[in-house]
Amino acid sequence: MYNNSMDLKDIFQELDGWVVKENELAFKSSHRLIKACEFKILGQTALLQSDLKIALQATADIDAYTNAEYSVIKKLDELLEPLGMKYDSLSSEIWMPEETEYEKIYSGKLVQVKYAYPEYLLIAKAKFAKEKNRVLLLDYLAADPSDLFFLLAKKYNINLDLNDE
Amino acid sequence: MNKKEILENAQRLKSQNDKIRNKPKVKDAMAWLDYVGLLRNNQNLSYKVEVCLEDLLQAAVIEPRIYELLPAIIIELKGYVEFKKIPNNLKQVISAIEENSGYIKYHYAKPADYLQWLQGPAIELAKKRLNPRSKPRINSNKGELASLIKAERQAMGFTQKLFAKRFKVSLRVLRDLEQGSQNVSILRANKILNVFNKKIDVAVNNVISS
Repeated sequence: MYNNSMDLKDIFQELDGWVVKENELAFKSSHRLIKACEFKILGQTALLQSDLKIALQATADIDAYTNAEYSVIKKLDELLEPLGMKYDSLSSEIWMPEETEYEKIYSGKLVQVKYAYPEYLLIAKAKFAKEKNRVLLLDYLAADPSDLFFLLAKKYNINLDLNDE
Repeated sequence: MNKKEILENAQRLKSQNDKIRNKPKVKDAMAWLDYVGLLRNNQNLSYKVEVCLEDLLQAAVIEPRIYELLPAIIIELKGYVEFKKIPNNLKQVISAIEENSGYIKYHYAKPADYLQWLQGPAIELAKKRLNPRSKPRINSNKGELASLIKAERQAMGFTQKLFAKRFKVSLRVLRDLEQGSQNVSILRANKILNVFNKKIDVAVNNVISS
């Protein structure tokens, strides 16, 4: 199966190298250093990296929680541009279950990257964008869904009746 | 519904969706969207033919994110997709965008969802990949092969890895060629050049348009 994880890892590796270099220059000239940061990738981009055996599509925006400084996000957008991608600046507004777990996929000197596990991503979609993700949720439910998904659906009071409304 | 009913219902509804998903025109639409970089997928569909609006609308039934992309495709990629009959609800959205007022929801897509694709790297990449005239024209001989391949690949907006994956060519051969290696067979070089509708003419040992 095709996925773009290789390219995203490369992008974040390059971003980490840039931050390290910027900090070396800042240190020499006594300027403020860029803080270490973390990206928690959400949405379809994270689903595409999962091992779910269902058809997945993702638009070119990357949703991610991050504590990165503006200059780092700007650099990330520069690196994503040749791939036609961009960081979604409204990502912080995305709701995710409080217990969401993440898998670390890249750990640089100053940049860490994690992907949310699919069950949590799908629960977030079922809770707030059920109609838009109806086919995706059906595909998931028809393909051996995990017990965790059902536990989360119960906890967040999500109705999994996906008949056409 | 209990868990068993939910699962049975999902199986039944999924098979209906699979009928749509497996239609050749829907597959073509998904492959085209992936190729132009607007909607990536994990299905390894190979881009073969141009698509028309009807194909994209059919694909949108199983992938509603396409509704977000359609206004940008119609406005920005005019000439690459056939728009014989634009449905009225989509026409209204296009008019609102062109008049810059009265934005309305289009299926699941709120105005902010579809307006974001009218500009930015995704639509620019799509234009690059669809417009052969935007690609650099190099009258290359064997010595210029490396720069030709690199320039064509970059003009299409692919990294080496993504290019190799997408067109099923060897990453090593691609790297070797771009580094100017002469130790690559013409057969292998032509497999890569074929992506750009070019080939090495054995008789003159020059790159020509195929």
